[in-house]
Amino acid sequence: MEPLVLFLLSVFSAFGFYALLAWGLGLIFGQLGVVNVAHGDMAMIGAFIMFAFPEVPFVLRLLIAIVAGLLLGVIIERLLLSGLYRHGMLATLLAMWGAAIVMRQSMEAVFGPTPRTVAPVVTGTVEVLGVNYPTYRLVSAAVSLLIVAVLIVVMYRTSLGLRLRASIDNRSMAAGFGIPTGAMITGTFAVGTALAVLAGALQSPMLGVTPQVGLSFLAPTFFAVLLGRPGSLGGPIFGAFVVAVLDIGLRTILPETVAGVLFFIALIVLIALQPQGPNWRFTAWKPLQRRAA
Amino acid sequence: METASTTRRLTGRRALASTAAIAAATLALTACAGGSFSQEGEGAPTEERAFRLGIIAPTTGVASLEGNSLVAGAKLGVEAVNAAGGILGMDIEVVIVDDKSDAATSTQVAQQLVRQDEVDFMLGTIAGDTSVAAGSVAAEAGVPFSTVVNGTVEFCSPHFWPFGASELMMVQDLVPLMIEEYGPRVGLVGNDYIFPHTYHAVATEVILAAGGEVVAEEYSPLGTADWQPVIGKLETANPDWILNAVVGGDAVAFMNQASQFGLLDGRGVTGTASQQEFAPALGEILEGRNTVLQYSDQIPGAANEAFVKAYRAANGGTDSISAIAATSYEAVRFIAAAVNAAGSYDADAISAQMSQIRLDGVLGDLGFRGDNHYVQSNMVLVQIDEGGVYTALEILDVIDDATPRACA
Repeated sequence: MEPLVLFLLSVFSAFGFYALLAWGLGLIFGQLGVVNVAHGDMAMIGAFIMFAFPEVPFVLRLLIAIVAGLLLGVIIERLLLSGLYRHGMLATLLAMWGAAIVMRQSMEAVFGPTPRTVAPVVTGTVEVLGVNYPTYRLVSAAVSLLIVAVLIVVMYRTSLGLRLRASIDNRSMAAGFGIPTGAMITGTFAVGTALAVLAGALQSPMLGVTPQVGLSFLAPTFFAVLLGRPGSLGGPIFGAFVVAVLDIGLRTILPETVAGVLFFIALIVLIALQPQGPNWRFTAWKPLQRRAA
Repeated sequence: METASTTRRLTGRRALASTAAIAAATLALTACAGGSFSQEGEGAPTEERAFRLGIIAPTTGVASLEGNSLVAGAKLGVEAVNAAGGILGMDIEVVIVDDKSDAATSTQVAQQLVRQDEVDFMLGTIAGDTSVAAGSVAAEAGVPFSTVVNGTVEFCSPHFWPFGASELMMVQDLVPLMIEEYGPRVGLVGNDYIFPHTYHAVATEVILAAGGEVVAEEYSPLGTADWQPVIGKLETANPDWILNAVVGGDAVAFMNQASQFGLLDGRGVTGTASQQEFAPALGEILEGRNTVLQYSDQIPGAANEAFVKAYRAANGGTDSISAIAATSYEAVRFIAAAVNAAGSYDADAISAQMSQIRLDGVLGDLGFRGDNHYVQSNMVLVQIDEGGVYTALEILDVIDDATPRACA
């Protein structure tokens, strides 16, 4: 029983982190078509923000990280990406690659290469069905999933979300209705960036914070987005869950390096089998198409 | 881990160390004149240009922490040698290149040092693959080459002289002490590349010889951010203590998460994550724990005190000085002494002296074996105290690593 409980708690912890990260990437990649290879480095920025102000209360530091993420997103979108959309996906990918390098080198210049650590806001463990599990991990995962849930509600139940989805779906038509599409695009990118920064900030007490720490987040996050239906807002969450289950499951029963290889093989196979993401609709009866005589 | 007997030995050794250190400082000042080392074949100086030392270090990139420590120590070594008269009466010329801890770049910059800068000796690199890359270039060009990081490099040549401690030196005294204090069941954990596997292979032999057993052995790729599956496996195996060979940011992540899960409660832990560079990040997790290092800035003695003072003046800060910095400092002084003893920049003459001279300094009694080129130096048993102070508990006897290695 205890191994199962530990497995489930570990999946929950990983799911929370990847859901927040993947939903932000899903906004940027799935909605805007920008291959944001700097997404992991944005999370790294969040971790360093948490380290940089140890005297500030933890929750306030998270708010600072969110604001910093929004600002970073606005700056990148307005100054770097806005003029590149018409040149296609490759142009935006290369731009974000450059942005990633700038972020890493900047953090190294400011903080140096020494690994840093961030104290968690809550310490100790909590007993869950006989398993002692770090309290902060559970709190962090719960907060992450709550944030994602709130954002989905905003996207589907508010007029702001409606305008945003309209801008993404058909920019010219949305503009015709008076929706400021430029602002909507910038806002989407800023929110995606802020979510990445927040994910890194929440994860920071568990990390050895270095300028390179974000690199390991990128591939699993992209796979999480790709597992969902392209453009879907719920897809990245489903993908994050699959990534968490596979990651923790394989690493629990197999040696780490073998598990890592099988992890990516499994993700590739899943994406290859369902390139359009999972189809949640039940099979519909369709009449046979008779050929014309 | 300190006992009455070790205290007495330390007291006696402290007095000896102080005396030896004062002598070493004197030796260092006279080394360039070639008058204080036991060597043979000292010839009259035959060179008319300055000795050129090429330093390869990852001053940027993933290993830049270690790389910059290497450069900082080497620069101080060069200053000390030049202040004492230089090599063959001339100041050392230094060329520093950045290999970004990438083997392809190491090859490229090593070739630059050999062909463009025409260096007489190469020093540096951090990661094992970069050491092999640079060492291969040096060997082909017949230029002596030295590394300063711990761990056996999968490479040797007639002119290769690695100053870093071998795996045997790192664990031979540490393992029995840990088994005595915590118990015989040992869990091994590390990153998945050459050094951790080699380190744990040697450690396993020592563990078994000391009556211990390995109950878990886990390796995770570099860049692992989430260690909970590994921690779960270790918890299931229930070792008495854990020997880790996890490096860089992964070391901090592993130790933090292990502490958060309670894996370290009542258990010993030691290994690479106990090194000085991680103390600022790991703080209380390391307090009270022991490890064996090639260097501690707390070692008593005039030579070390002079080095520490010079290092702080040049680099500032109050964190513990890394072994890499001290080793590169001492390596420059040793190389200078060897060249002075040789009387020329000829690689064969230098290498002949490298295996013969001894240097008593911040690494203790330093020298090399002539057959396998393994370094011989004192290791130090340290306790990590509050504030990241690496208190030297005992200067351990020199370990003579006779592991066969073809260097001819």
